[in-house]
Amino acid sequence: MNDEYLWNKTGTDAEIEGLENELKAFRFSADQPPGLPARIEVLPEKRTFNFFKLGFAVAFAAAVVVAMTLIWLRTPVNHPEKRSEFVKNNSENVAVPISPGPFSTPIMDPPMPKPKVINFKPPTTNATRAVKITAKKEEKLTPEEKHAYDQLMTALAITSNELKLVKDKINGRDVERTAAPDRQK
Amino acid sequence: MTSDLFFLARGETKTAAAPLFTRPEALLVDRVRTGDKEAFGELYRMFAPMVHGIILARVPRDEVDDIVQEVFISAYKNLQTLRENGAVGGWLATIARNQAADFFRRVKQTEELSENTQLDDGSKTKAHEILATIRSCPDAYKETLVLRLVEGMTGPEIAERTGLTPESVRVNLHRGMKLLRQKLGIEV
Repeated sequence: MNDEYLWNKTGTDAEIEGLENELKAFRFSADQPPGLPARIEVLPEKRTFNFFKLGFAVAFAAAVVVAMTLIWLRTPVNHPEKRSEFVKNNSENVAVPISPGPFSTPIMDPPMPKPKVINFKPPTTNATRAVKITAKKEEKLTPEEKHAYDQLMTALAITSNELKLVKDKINGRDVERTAAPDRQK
Repeated sequence: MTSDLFFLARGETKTAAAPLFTRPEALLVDRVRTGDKEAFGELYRMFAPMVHGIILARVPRDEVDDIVQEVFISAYKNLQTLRENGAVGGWLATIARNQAADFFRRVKQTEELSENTQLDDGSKTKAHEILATIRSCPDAYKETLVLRLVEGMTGPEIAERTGLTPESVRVNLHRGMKLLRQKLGIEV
């Protein structure tokens, strides 16, 4: 078999030529195209209706409606049978609210209070603070409290003196201090 | 194989020697879209043998001419669905295959027998035997063999008209011919 003759009719191949001659009778012969409509109608491109999207939208809407209905019915005050029982059980003490229904405006939480604005003041000095504190204390303290306060302040003074002595001893200044008054004496 | 991979990597096909939109059939389709009936006639003469061969490979011969006409009328009516004008050959081939399949849905296959009973001379009988043998081959082979042996198209012409690659047409021709010779009892 001559492959080149089979591919592009170059060369010769008696066997293939024989088959061609036999099958020539079936060859296409009509040269006339089919009759066409008299008026050329260029159809606009069809808009395909998307059934999948429509089905999805319907199913979603149905699911939302069913869910809302179930939620509404599960609330005892809304269910017709449970409502009567609920009213019976709680009629003495509880006032049963009448629900407006699943499609009414939902009850909103009360608005959050606005945060208070804090006015920042610069810190006062130690001297002014001490004056203010003593003034307040003098105004408010009872005599017993004032006595206790004085005792506390005395104890604090003694303690601070002792601490100062310890600190001086650690720093090596205790000899000078203790010696100096003795020399003066 | 390497060359195939190269073409695949470049996103091209080997038949795409010229861009699809510059092919003569693409220009003809453009003219048909504007209502040029003469252009439709040229398109018919260019592709009718290919459509005829595809249908002849599947459908009884008496029905072939009618189905060829139906294919072109259907193509004309649905031309707005053709996205790439240069791919009109492959598009027509697909319509032809679908019309052939529709034919078998409509009528029973017993009509094939009636065709054979009408034969009277010996040469026609032999031709029908060869055609029947070709039809018994797989789809890829029988289509290519009919286009080559009946319609007298060369391999490159078959590739150009049907939109197939020349390599696949060549392989189908070679293997189909080998199978046909075996079935006809010709020594290889």
